[in-house]
Amino acid sequence: MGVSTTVQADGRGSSGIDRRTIKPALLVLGLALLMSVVLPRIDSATSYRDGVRKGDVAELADGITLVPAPGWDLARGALVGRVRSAVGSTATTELVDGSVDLSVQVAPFDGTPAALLSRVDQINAELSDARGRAAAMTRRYAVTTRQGAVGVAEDFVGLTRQGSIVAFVFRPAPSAQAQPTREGVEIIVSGPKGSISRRRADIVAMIRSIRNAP
Amino acid sequence: MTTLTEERSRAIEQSGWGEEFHLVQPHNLAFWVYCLLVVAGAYVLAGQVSIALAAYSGALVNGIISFGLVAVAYLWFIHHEDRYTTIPGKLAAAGFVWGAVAAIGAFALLSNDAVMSLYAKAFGASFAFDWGAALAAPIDEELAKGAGILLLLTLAPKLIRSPFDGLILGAFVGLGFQISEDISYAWIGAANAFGNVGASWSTIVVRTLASLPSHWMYTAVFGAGLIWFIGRPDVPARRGLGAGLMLTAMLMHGLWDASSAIAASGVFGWVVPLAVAGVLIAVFVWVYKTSVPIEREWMRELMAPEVELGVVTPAELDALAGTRATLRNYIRAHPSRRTTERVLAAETDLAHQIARGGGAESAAVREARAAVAQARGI
Repeated sequence: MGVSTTVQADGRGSSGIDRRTIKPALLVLGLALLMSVVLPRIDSATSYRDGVRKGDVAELADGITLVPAPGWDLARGALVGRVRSAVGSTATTELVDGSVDLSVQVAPFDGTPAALLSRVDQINAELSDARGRAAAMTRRYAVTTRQGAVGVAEDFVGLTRQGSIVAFVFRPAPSAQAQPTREGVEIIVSGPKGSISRRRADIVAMIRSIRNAP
Repeated sequence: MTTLTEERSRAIEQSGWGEEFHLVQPHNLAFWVYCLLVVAGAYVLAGQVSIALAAYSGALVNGIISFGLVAVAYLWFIHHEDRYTTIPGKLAAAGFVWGAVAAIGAFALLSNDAVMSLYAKAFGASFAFDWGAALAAPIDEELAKGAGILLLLTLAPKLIRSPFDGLILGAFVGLGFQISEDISYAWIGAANAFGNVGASWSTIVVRTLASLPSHWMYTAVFGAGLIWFIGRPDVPARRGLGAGLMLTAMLMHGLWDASSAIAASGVFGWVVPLAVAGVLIAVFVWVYKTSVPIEREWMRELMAPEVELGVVTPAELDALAGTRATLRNYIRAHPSRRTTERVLAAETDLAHQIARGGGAESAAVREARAAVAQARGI
């Protein structure tokens, strides 16, 4: 013989809802709205206070750096000398300036820049198929950093955004680890057409500034 | 009615033992809010899963299988520790689903991102890199999981009667959250490594090794604290202790997330997470030991009339209502351990049947008594 644990009907109001259950239920609902609706809206309405300054260097991963263009905002990542935690060999960095976004993903990758770009294209194609959104890709071209590293790039044009994907693969310093692995670097720049064009010089400078520390 | 029988009735009434849990309660607003937020959470998670299925399905499958096995191990452990007035399976399942779906999808995913981004905007990305997760997740996630315990308390006020119930239910909610988060980390690990499925294995190994001082334990401590803070009919509210435990759960969570920033990539970087794990486990054990006596007392009061009837011996009652060490010592003291374990299992089943029947004599109770005799080989 089991006894029901439902709250008894003696506390019900005209709505049929037990009054004793209203306060805790609304408290939880209010918390959910605060966390999933209000906080993201506050975030969207808040701008960065402290843009990147001349001399700042972003640490993309252990030993790999990029010099961000002054005035851009570092949305995600670490500046050299400003963080206590180790950045590690797999890391994400994101720089934004208005509606233009430059994101960098670094992770171990044992292949060529062309192979990395093909891998990225394959993932993007799979995701585009799932989302029903496709972007037209241009032919590939070479990109060289000021340090002399040669990468591969291609441009894409979507319905609302366009941009470029660039891939590099850096060899580690001989003394870096007992079993050194190569680090793949994927850079995706995207934004509305006009915005990208206006920031072209900044974007090129940032990509060319990528260095692999000896 | 004898004093023992009165005490049995009181124990059943106070503990809620034997009560059934019904999630569907149209007159309870907590039911509608629970459903709404689980559906909202499922919708958000479905978006994530569709990405994982499209491009990282191998890593997703690895995560589901590996962490599914981890979940089974922890579910067994939590159920094993809940050996007195056991939380019903349906209530535990409702808690697990809340943690796995609503707490993540309808609360933590969106709020963590927003708060981390706000830290980056206000104090710089480097500050957010070091401290963002430690300052966002403990508050967002403990409140999200705790909200589920509050809803389930509103849905099952007669079943959640002690801080120990809060501890166990919190563990189920936290475990659901932990497994859901672990699975997502498995495929996100592959996504961050250009789709390399092998990267998911390192995530799986690390998160499995770090699964002990994790969400199931934080939320267990938080759940016990919440019940102490609110109070129950037979457990007076202890607001200071309750608030202290909820804050402790958040603090331990925060210190764990801040481990690498605190250690600052020093040689003894492992000391911080180890110390946090040690303190968290100590707090968990303290909460367990402090909250469990009332459960033992209820077991003793429920089964005492069976001693008078000669169904259970006084020593068996001590073992049934005693600590795990008492139980272990009792079993070891007998030459035929298997028979002793069978008798104790039959007596535990008898206790459940008595509680389900509200203390009344019934065919099920008589059958359970016969099963005790049969286990003795009589």
